[in-house]
Amino acid sequence: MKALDAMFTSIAVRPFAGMAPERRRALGLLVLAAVLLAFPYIHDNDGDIDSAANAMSYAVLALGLNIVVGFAGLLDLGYAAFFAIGAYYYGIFSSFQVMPPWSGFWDPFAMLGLVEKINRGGPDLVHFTLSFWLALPTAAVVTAFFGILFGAPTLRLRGDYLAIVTLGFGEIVPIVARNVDSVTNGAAGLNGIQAPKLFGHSFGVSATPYYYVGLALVALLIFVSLRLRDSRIGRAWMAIREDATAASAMGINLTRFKLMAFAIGAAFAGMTGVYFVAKLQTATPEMFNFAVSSMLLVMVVLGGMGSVWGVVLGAVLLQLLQTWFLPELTGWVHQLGAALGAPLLQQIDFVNSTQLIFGVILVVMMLFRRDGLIPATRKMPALSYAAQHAEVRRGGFVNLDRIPRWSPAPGNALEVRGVTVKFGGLVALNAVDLTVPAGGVVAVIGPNGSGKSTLFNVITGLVEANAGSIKFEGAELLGLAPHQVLERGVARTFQNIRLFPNLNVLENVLIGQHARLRSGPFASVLHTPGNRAEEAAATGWAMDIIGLFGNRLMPRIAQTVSGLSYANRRRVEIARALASRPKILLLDEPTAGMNPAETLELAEQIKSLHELGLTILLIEHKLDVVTRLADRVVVLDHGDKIAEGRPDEVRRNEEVLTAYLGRAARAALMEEDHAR
Amino acid sequence: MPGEGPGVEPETRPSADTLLEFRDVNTYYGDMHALKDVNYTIGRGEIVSLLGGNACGKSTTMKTIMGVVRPTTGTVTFDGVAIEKLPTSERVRRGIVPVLEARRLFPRMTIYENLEMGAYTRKRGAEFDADLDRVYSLFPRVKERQGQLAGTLSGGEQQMVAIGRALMAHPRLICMDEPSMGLSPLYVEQVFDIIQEINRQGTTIFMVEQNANMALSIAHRAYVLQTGQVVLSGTADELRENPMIREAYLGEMQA
Repeated sequence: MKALDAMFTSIAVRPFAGMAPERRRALGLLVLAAVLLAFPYIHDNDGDIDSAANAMSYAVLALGLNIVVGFAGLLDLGYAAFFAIGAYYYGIFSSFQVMPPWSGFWDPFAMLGLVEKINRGGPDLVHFTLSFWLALPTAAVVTAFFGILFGAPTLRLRGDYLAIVTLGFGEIVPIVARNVDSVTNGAAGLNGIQAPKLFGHSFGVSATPYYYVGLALVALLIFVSLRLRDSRIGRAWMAIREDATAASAMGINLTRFKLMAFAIGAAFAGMTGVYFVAKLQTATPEMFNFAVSSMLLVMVVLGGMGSVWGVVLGAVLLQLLQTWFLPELTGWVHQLGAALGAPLLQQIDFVNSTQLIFGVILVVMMLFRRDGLIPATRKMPALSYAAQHAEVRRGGFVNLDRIPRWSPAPGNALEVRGVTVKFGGLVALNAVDLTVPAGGVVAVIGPNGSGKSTLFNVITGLVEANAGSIKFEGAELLGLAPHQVLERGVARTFQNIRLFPNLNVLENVLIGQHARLRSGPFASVLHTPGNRAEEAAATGWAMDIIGLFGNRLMPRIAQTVSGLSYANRRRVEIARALASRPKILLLDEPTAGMNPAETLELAEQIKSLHELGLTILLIEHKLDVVTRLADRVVVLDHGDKIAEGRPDEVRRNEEVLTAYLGRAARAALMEEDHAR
Repeated sequence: MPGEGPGVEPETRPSADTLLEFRDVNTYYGDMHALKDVNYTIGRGEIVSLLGGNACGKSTTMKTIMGVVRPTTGTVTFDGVAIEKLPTSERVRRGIVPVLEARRLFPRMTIYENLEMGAYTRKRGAEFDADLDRVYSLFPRVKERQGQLAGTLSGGEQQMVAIGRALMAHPRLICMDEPSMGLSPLYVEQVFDIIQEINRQGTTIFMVEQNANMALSIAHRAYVLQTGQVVLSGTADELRENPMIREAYLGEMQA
């Protein structure tokens, strides 16, 4: 496989190897566009142009589904429902199916050209005459609304459950279309849908104008998809796909961004629906059944989930295979059979076996190219020996001059009062009190399972408290969603490291800034000056933060984090939390998995953040780190606070020695006392 | 760097004493050269520790022993037989058993079921019961909680079950990846006591560990890996006295 890839690359790329990659890309796009534009003239066969136009509509559908499944990771098995809604929207408002009696109410609509008064022997009736060009954008709005409507109840679901519920919606919509005869004409379908008109000329039944409209639609939505992917919105979707809990802890409003993915994906399908029925001039419930949803999913998987160019390629290939290549192949085999006098060959019909052939393609892809034809994640260059090699450095962070000082208001930053958390019968935290003064460092220690991480989870809104209050800068945190806690300036890391594994270091750190950025979908697609300035500033700040870790992270900014070492993943997680411009940083065992020298390096780096005025709450098992950093230590055991005090007080506490510290600590103490 | 310091072993030990051996092993991930001409010799009955910073090839070493990653060149022999082409399951059957990084128990199975899974490659019988007794005598707490779901245990208890599960496979060589990670000081001491006890009962131990102080306190010998190369090896005592080790891995350099 690898050899084939290399061969392909060398043949395809070698003549242009001297060019800069961007110019090579631009040239490739230009050639592709020229070929596609000239296609109806080169290949003047109306049937084949029609196949290509159909392929365009599937490409748009695949692009929309890719936003929901590929970007946001929400498996949607009923995507064709939105296709149907867009189709029926245009079908109903541009045919003679629904004709209410005429009244004065319709006059303004008639002036806008949306309706006509007609008379078929009886009272005057309303005939809807929605123009195709107006229907395209309005269908996007209408289906986006349905996307939110269908998405809202499914938001709490993930994976298999979400798939089943969306499968249900996908079935319901065609069934409704079949049964509401008066609006949709039932199983017989809508007829007499208007063909689009441009400058007074109707498109009629020739395939060529539809081909160009389809091509424009695909180009537009590729552009929109790419812009969204590389924006704050796209990063938020991918964060949700990678780890929803971590995404919410990094300030991403899960409800809002999942609904946005559903709505934008639905809008793509709605526009395709308009295009598709305008071309066919009919709409029946069968056109939108489960087979369509599943075929779209195959297209996305074949092309490469999350890959914009990949899904377009997948859709076009499968559609052309089905409508163009398979019938031709059948014809050739039949001719061959006739020439050879083999009747068996003449009975083969590949078109009837389309589903089987799709299945085989899918199995072959899973075996040999799981990431699709054009994988979404780019291959990374290997690090040089020098870049891989990092020396332990002492003395805290370098490049601190680019980081603004924190100037916390005096008083207590965080006040935890009487917080109790129960999991069923287990009391994970029992009326725990804890105070972190502004600009201070407090450490929480205690045996495994004593409730330390639960404390972090309840502060950051990941678990609910049964009693108590948690105030940050005087305002209650309990009851807030994790993203709201982060917005208040409380950022955290996780004990078992929760990065976004398939994204690179820079992307992970950029996602940390999510809550501090404002760009919405429109600004992101249009690249407004405000959006461009914001993105540039965000990248600058991310680089400043990554730069703190020097050559531990700088050579690795383009590497996916799943390939990093444990210690570097911890560093990225701290960088991600710092990127959110926190007022207090909650570190859950930051030095786990580091050797003593690396531990010391990180401890000193944390200390240099503290010296800049950052307030820190720290869970740590390594006592030397705790003594080096913390002003106060709180000891938890089985959910109870058993001790609190300065580090040197706590390490002499008898209860702490027995429950937690062990004999080495006791021996060290005795040695110290003896020396004195 | 290679060749410096005390105790670099140029010659190979006689094979009768050798349980596991790496000879000139090179491992690549794509273009990345993760292990470079690496040689290890682990004798029967030894505790051998592998030290090194992060991303230096320690985990790759473990994966190469277990067959998750195949070396590009070089040989890995276990008990005198080349194993580098064998699948992981066959290696476990031959007695190379891992205790994985971050425990990796089956969280929704009970402790007893987790221990049963450890004996998966073996026939059930009197030997199973004897092994179970041995595990329970090493870890009385594990016996108390045998019906509890493994996911509800604390990190320290999980590590006990993970070691117990490895013992149920009747190992000749236990490969431990960071046994002390994320454990409280008290549990770290307990885990290292147990490792020493298991070794005293006759099982060879190969251990990757960040806590170099603890690792060198129980290991017989150790290798130091840096960016994929063995830069130092020797007895634990030699390495503890080595200035480079003291500075880079024991964190004794003064600021």
